[in-house]
Amino acid sequence: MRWFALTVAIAAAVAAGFPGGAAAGWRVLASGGAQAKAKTLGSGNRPSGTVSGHRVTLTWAASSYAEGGAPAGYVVRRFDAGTGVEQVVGASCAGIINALTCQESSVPKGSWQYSITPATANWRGPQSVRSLTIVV
Amino acid sequence: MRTRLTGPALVLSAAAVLVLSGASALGSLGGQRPVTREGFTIRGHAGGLYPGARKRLSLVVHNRGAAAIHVRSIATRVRDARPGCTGKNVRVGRYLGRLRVGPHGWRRVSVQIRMLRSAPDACKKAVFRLRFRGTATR
Repeated sequence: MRWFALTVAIAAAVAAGFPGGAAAGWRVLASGGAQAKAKTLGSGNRPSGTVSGHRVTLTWAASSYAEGGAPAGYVVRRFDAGTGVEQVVGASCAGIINALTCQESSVPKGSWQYSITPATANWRGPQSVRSLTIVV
Repeated sequence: MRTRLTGPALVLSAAAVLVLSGASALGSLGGQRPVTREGFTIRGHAGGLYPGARKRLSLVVHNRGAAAIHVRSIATRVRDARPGCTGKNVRVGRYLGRLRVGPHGWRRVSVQIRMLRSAPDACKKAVFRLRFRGTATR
């Protein structure tokens, strides 16, 4: 009978220690996987330009991501139409342009071609076909 | 028949009560609960990431067990996408809460996912594999 009493006492202690039932104290772990996809930056569109003295005004159509949405801006490049060598563009068209037009001032005499590259931060899309030759 | 708890049996019983109650109390503080693996699963998908983008990553939590659970946390690890585009370019928020999921049921929860503005050009068109780890209580 002593052992019976001892067993009852232990059972009572267990019951008192787990008031919510044995399962209440269980911790459950899980795992799983997924994918996160980055966008694809579309190609730039061929620019067109007009000349007024040493000032060239460029315009181009908007580009987009393949999944939709527009890039943050565009990079404008100028090339020598004869040699194909890239030139340094004027300050007003340098960097990332957050518009669909830009006006380069003080362009030297010569024959030039421009291209447009979509840009978002460090990302660059495919460069556009170069513009028709612009004579300054 | 009378049953009397005397002598060594009484001492043993008292000791058992103290030890088991103490152990149970410590366990209920969350330190050493029994663990069961794969009690629930987490699935999700995110798209449209680009430098500076902030999106919601929708997760589906599925309780595979016959008892309700309370999801307490979900952490995400982002794997490298390719050379030059590491998983560190994508940050995923941690879920902390108490989401009840019924037996064999599922619930949806979302966390923030963002791509750093400094993400390199190599991350264009990249696919990042995500690994989730979650904890829940019953």
